[in-house]
Amino acid sequence: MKHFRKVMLVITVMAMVLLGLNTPGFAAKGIKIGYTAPFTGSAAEFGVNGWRGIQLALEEINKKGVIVGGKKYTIEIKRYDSICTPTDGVANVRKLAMQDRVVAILGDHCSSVCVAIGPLCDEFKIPGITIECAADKVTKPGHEFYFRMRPSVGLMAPLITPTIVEKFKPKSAAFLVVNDDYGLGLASAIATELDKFGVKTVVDETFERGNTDFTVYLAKIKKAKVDILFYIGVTPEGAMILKQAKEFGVTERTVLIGSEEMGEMELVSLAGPEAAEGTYAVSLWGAVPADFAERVEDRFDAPMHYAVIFGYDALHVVARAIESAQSLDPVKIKDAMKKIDYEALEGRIKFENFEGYRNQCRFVPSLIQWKDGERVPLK
Amino acid sequence: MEIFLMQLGSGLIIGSVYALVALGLNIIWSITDIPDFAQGSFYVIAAYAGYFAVTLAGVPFLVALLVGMCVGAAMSFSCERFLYRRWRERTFRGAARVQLLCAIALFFLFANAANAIWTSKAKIFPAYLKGSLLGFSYMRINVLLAAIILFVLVYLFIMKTKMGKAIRAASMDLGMAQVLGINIDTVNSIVFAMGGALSGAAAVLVSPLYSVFPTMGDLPLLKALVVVILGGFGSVAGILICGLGLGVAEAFGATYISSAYQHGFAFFVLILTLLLRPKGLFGRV
Repeated sequence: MKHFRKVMLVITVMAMVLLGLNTPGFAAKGIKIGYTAPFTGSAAEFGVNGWRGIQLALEEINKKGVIVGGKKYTIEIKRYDSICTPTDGVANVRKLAMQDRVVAILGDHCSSVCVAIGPLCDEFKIPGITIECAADKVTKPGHEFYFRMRPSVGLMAPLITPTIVEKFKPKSAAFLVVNDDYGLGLASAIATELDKFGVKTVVDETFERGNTDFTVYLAKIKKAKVDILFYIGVTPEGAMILKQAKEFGVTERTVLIGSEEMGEMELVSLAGPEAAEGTYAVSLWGAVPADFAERVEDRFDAPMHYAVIFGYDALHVVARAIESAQSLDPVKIKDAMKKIDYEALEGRIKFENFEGYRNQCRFVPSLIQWKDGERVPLK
Repeated sequence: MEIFLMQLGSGLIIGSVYALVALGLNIIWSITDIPDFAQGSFYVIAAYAGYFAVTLAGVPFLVALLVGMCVGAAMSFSCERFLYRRWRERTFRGAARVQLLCAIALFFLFANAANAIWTSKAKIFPAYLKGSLLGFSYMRINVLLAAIILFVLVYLFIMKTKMGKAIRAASMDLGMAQVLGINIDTVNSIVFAMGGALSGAAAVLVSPLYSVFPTMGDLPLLKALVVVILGGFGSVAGILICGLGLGVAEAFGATYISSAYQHGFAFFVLILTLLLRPKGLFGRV
């Protein structure tokens, strides 16, 4: 009986300790940051690569720790799959805010999800930073608590279109884009800019996400004998478009220019170097420091992808904001983020309000061309 | 003119995929009164089987095609033997409805299993033939050729062999066929295996063109059902004509009317046909 009581006492104490470790009040000195991204589905490459970048940043940050109020903290990431659907993204953010009580949220990658979670960041008063959402709506008019580093489609179009017009001197253009905020937004932004140069949009087709049969659209584009074709979607869709465009001889007459996903190695691994040969794509990055590229190669045995770079930068931005705010209060962290100004991997990070955009950085995109399965940046 | 011919060709090719799946469905439906929705999922699994045969085992395409057909046949045969057979009409009234529900459930089960195991990211099936003719790759033309060959084989089987006669008899009058000594269990097994093989063949033939992914069976299944109803449960030739015709109608509709409603044309054609000719075009219903 005495023995039994002792055992019960030990168990009770252990249970209390374990319970205690779990409650926020007794939490280990960790800062929780949320991450919502597509890890499965057709957009999986974004979440997978974004996570790689975040992991690299996490290692660097936690080695030194984050010092707030004299105490050293480590960062812990809670990540959930959004499968590139707004309903899942919203559910993830609610979970992160109400259950996990994160101080900041990284993500999402898909425009339709970002548009949905931006207002939630305002509602919960937790700063969020998108990894790569491109639709204008995300930061125009935007939200007080939502930030974006990369340029939106509305910002990219006037920067990239003059380069395209100068290089290809087109008279007519066609668009084959995915039917969502991102595809439609980018297409209309570029079309408007092209119009200023007198380039007419003759074919404007949209397809549903996940479509694999583009024969009907390509037939129309071939018939229209356009000079340039913009294709926008995720890489599996892009790969099919390239393969079928090559098959039906569209590439003989028309220059194919893909959205930024189409400038990543993933496209060549799906479509094959021959189908991609000679086609172009918009690019958000030209080169990264050699040691960073090596780290990615060694650690993950995978090619560089812009999501790796953006994920890396995003976490560093939040960590810097926490240290500069010297507080774990999400509102103070948000205020600190607004004041950030430093040279990150992808360029200068400074969130500004301009031309109707809020919490937006300014970058200049470029073009790359696929040659022998390699992406070659153009001057 | 060029675009007309191109869409005609495209339509015939995609139509042959519908026709293949429809042929299997048709024969199964005419014997057992089950619209076997599960064929759509055998289609998907067979495509993955073909994909892995080529990428992991490195076999030539023709072997992968046979693998796909065998996988489709085996799955279809097993579902009939261990599931549908339990609820044949003679066991209790309304058993046919249980079979239909079972078929639908199996469709979702296998397609979602494929999604869970291999994720929804498309798997790119490597090209097995290079080169093209008149803007159509040889792989694309092969789909039509293979479909025609399979149709001829099925036709010969149904018309010229003893088992084929038994199948025809069972489709005309099941009770009488049994009285005459035809083993319905055997007939059912063969018919389901054939249906699965045809679905598997269609799936593997089309995989190099559009990649392999868990929802690839949804639309072909629906279109095949439309073809079966359009054809009126008729002859083998009738299914081929209806299948090809539907493919062409869809291609022309998408090109000349609206590409946004590309997949809706099949159903539009179905409704129109049923309004004008309820028996279907070649109906013997």
